[in-house]
Amino acid sequence: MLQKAFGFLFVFVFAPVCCGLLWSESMGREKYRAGNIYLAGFLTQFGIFQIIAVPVMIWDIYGMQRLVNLTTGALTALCVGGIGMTVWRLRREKWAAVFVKRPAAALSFECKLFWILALSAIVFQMYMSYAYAPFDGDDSYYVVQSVLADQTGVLNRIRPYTGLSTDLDIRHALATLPLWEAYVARMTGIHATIVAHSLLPLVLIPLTYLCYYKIGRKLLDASDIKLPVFMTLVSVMQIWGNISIYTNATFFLMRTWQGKSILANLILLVQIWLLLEIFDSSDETGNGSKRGYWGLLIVNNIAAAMMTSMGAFLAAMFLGIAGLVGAIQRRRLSILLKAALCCVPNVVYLLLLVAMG
Amino acid sequence: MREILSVFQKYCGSGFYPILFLAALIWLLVTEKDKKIRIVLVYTSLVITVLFFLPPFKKLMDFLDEGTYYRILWLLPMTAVIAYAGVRLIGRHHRIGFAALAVVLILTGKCVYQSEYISKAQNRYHIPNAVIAICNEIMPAEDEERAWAVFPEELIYFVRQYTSEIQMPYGREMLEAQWEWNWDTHPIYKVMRESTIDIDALAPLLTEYNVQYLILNRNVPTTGDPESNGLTKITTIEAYDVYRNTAVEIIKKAAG
Repeated sequence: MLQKAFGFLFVFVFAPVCCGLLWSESMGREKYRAGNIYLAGFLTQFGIFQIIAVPVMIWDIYGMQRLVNLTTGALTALCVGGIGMTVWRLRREKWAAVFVKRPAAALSFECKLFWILALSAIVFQMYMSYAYAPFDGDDSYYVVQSVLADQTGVLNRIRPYTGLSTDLDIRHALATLPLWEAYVARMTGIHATIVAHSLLPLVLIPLTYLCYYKIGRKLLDASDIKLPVFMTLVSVMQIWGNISIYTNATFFLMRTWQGKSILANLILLVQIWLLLEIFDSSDETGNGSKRGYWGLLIVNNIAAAMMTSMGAFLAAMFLGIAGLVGAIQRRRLSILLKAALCCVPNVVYLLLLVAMG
Repeated sequence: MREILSVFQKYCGSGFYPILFLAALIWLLVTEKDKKIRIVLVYTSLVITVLFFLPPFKKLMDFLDEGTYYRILWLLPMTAVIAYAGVRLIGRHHRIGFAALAVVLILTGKCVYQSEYISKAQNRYHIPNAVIAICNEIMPAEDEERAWAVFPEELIYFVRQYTSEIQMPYGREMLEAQWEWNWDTHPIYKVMRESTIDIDALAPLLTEYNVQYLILNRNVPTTGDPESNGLTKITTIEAYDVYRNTAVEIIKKAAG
């Protein structure tokens, strides 16, 4: 029980929050917002895991314990860095300057009601994801990969369907999300299948809505009733979005724990949020205020490759198009160049895929 | 082009969200003033939409990863665009506007919880209780090598999600009709998939492939006598009989 609690707190609270602190200074006027810090930290965790997992998996067949040790070590180091940076800043400035007390917006009764409706819809989806079991055949590949890594310590060299030995299937293996789920299983002591089916939806569903909230804040006035109306409409479309088996809404609630779903419902949404921040000309708060968002785009692109083999391509394609459109609209070539730089990890990943595939 | 339209139609399925998205996109193209929203939500979506309908682009995507062209549509922020356009459209009429929009979205969509692929979870693994009970029954002891077992079709997906200690001579690859070109049908599966299972034909195959356990759905008729074929029934769990194939010994792990 203690391991479950400590493991959960490390992976889903301590690591995301403390790693997120590393980014807070470079997020313009949005710095030290809890949602920004958590999202940035969660993505950093994904990015770090992908960077460590790919070489470990290629060079060490029985590398699960090494992967756990290296990842935990790297995350701990980043956490110490994040805490250290914050403490350093507190020495220079006053607490009040860092954690700016933002006056609570006066919400109307109607606005509060819409927020209750929006939050209820999210809690309902979380409950349904725990109490109901969607069936998806792909689980017998991806979830079993997590089970195998956790129970045998072998990284992607066992056929999930049968249990026989096999070579590294590089197209699937380079997307290391199943290994991250095995990492969560090892850290918490919870069976990898329970992690995938019961635990992760409780984390990933609110995380997706946090992204929508961030997007909504850039589109609409945060104190206005329009934001909770926007959030409730988003919930309605997620719940009634099962118009076919291909939509991102179907993946969101039927395959929440799979890489394809996280790509469509977290990674690509984070890109939209980050691009809205980057292109927000009302937030030009001086030198480097957007650095954090560009940096997070790089991390997000690394995380995209972790989700599915096509993730790196799709994320780069979206960023490339948005960068090109933004550069033309703003008449600034630097936007396109920065977007291209953010795609370097995607290019490296795709070259690795071609070279080893 | 016909193929692209077919992909789009399949994506739309029984709903109208992509159509609502296109309508919202055009409306925002005409009315939206905020430049960051125009860049990220409107122009980028338009470029992706145009690319999606271009046949050369489809050819390129098929070269990279065939059969996943619908994922290009994931790049379109349909939910955010429809919700944002909706909020702007209703203006100050929040209550009535929200109710009207919600009704439109519910009527033009399909509830995920009414899907035929979703059912009440029996446990936190979200796999059938029967699989867990059967696996626990045949699970090798600590000093034994992994066990081999043959399961009925409907349980195959779940067995190895529960434990890596039980191996199967074939798995999901046999069950997907569209993968048939890639896999030779396993001889045991050829017998197991029949509407009546021939035990006389099955038993020698189990021994040939070193399978120690056989699980049969009691509702599927069989011919032949399990006992005379070396199959001893060890238990019944829900609708399933669990047999031990005595011709294949359970191997102890090598010492050290």
